[in-house]
Amino acid sequence: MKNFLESSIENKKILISCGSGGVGKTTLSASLACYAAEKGKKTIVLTIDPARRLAQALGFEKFSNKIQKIELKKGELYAAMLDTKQVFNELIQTCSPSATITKQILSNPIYQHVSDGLTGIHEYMACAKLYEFYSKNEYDLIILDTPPMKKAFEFLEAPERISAFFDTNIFHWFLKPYFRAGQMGLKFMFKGSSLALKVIEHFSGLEVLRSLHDFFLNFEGMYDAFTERATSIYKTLRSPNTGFLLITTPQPHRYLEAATFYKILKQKKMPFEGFIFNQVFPQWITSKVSIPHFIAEHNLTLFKDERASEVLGKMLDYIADLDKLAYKEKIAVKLLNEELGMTTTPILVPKLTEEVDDIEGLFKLHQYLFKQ
Amino acid sequence: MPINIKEKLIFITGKGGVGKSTVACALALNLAHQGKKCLLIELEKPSSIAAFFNKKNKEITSQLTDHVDLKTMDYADSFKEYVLKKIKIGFLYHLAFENRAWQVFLQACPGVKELIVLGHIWYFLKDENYDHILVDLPATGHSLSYLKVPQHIKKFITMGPLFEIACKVADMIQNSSIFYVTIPEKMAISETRDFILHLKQDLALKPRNIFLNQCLKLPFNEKEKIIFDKIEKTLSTYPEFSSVFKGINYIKVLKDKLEEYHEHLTSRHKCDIVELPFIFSDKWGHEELDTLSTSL
Repeated sequence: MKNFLESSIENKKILISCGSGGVGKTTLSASLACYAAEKGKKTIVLTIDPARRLAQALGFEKFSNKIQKIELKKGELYAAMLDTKQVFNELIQTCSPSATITKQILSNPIYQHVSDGLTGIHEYMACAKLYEFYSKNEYDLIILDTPPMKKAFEFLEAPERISAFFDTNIFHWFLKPYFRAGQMGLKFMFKGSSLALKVIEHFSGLEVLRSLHDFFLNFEGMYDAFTERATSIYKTLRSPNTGFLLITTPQPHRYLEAATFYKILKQKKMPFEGFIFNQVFPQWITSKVSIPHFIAEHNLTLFKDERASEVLGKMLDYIADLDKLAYKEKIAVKLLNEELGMTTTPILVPKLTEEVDDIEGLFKLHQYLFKQ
Repeated sequence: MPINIKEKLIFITGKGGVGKSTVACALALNLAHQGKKCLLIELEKPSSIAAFFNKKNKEITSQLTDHVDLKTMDYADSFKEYVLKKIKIGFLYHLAFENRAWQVFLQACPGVKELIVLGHIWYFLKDENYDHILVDLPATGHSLSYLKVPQHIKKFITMGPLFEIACKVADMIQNSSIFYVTIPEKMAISETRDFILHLKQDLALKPRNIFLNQCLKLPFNEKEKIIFDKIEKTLSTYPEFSSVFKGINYIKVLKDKLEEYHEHLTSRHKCDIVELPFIFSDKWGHEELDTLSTSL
């Protein structure tokens, strides 16, 4: 029987891997992409990851922003590492009504900070690029490895945050009147907002406010184009061609977060495919043996030496401890599945001793991802 | 082992999920055992540290042990306690800061919130009651981003109280002791290397120690290795035990990797590494933290 991942790869055009940092999202996304390509899908894997980890997983030391073809024995696979700032610059160029405004925005210090540090901006730009690839329709499957987040569900909240920020109402409410009043004399304006701005001015200097004002002033002309773009992007995310995968690990703080992610996804009516639990601890003790009996029965003289019995005892205790850990993880996965009323069986990938840092390693992962 | 730290201010940083908070606690306990009075500051709510000590942490500050106090605070607390009270900007300003314009300003100028929190920490440094202030920095994509906030702010705010705070805080960071928590896994190690390089490049600082957390140890020492080999020879032929030896070998491979990472960080990056054991426990409590604290 097929597991959910096989069906997802077969039926979807976009797969979005979400998960908090350090769960192995990038590696698993790359592995899925290899599988899809091998199955005959022209596939591209996108990552907007400041740590550039996909490059490592794909065996590249350095990656450019251009699309790279990954050489496989069979199938067509491409990868692109995207620079958020560059994507944002391109988006501004597309939406901007004139070259002068584009130039003004790009050189504004507020823009410099917004394009780098605004919460949710990396997520938003990842989606913008995803949309661009999707609408060009050059690939059968696009896999998006989302930027590393503190919490997986931040990805789903990014669009609202960004839209709220660029809401030019703010400009009309606060900044524009403030600067107009500035020319006439501020003493006539003593309402809440202008007071707030006066405080900011005192707190950090007029320079910052002027940059803010200029930024929103320039942005005003392209707001409609920008919003329209955003609407199309979110339509794509909700489309039946899209599927969300959540990659997590079976540690308590992580799977609680996974549950939250799932609930938010459902609320937003976004298509969920299933959970992948990575780095699951393997279980070792398969049979229960009474050691003294076993030793007597097989007449093992080695254990007449007290030190040997002692080492054996320590060894078995240790393995039992490891197994307790493995058992706890298994129960946690089961409980999560029950609590959320999931119909798909989650996929478990064991914690491996060998590091996945080349194409071969990515293919080796398929035995855990697909043949369960 | 008692760990001797000269600096009053201690930052503990690292990626999420590596056990940063438990290490921060263990470090505080270690210092407390030496008779040092510590204030542990946690910058994320709800507090995870309070739970280790079975505390509810309803108050902002709570006493964890005789020598360790915990303070869990976020930007809103820092704003109320530090900006409004200590830099005294009056009640009218209070109204202003709840305004939406201020919220927009905060969003457009990333780092301002963090700067205010750091400014608040600076204020605690003056408290004579404490020998050490330990700050458990929030897990961010980049562990360095918090420490670089003052530099970043100074690029676009060039006057006023925020600028002054940035200068003060930059100084404070230069005179602190930075501990980095990581785990023996390839990605985590390569991020550790990046952290060390950037800390040097951007702030001209060096981490005091790298804590390599969750290190699995073999259940026997070097001397007992010969005995283990004999046991393996005798028992591995029985199917009842085959998976047990697989398990031990699994740990062996992880242990070899650990040594490789340790060696890499020590020789190539001249780091002071402290290995911390993996602690098998269902729940973190005082006892587990004490165990961890003695392994420091």
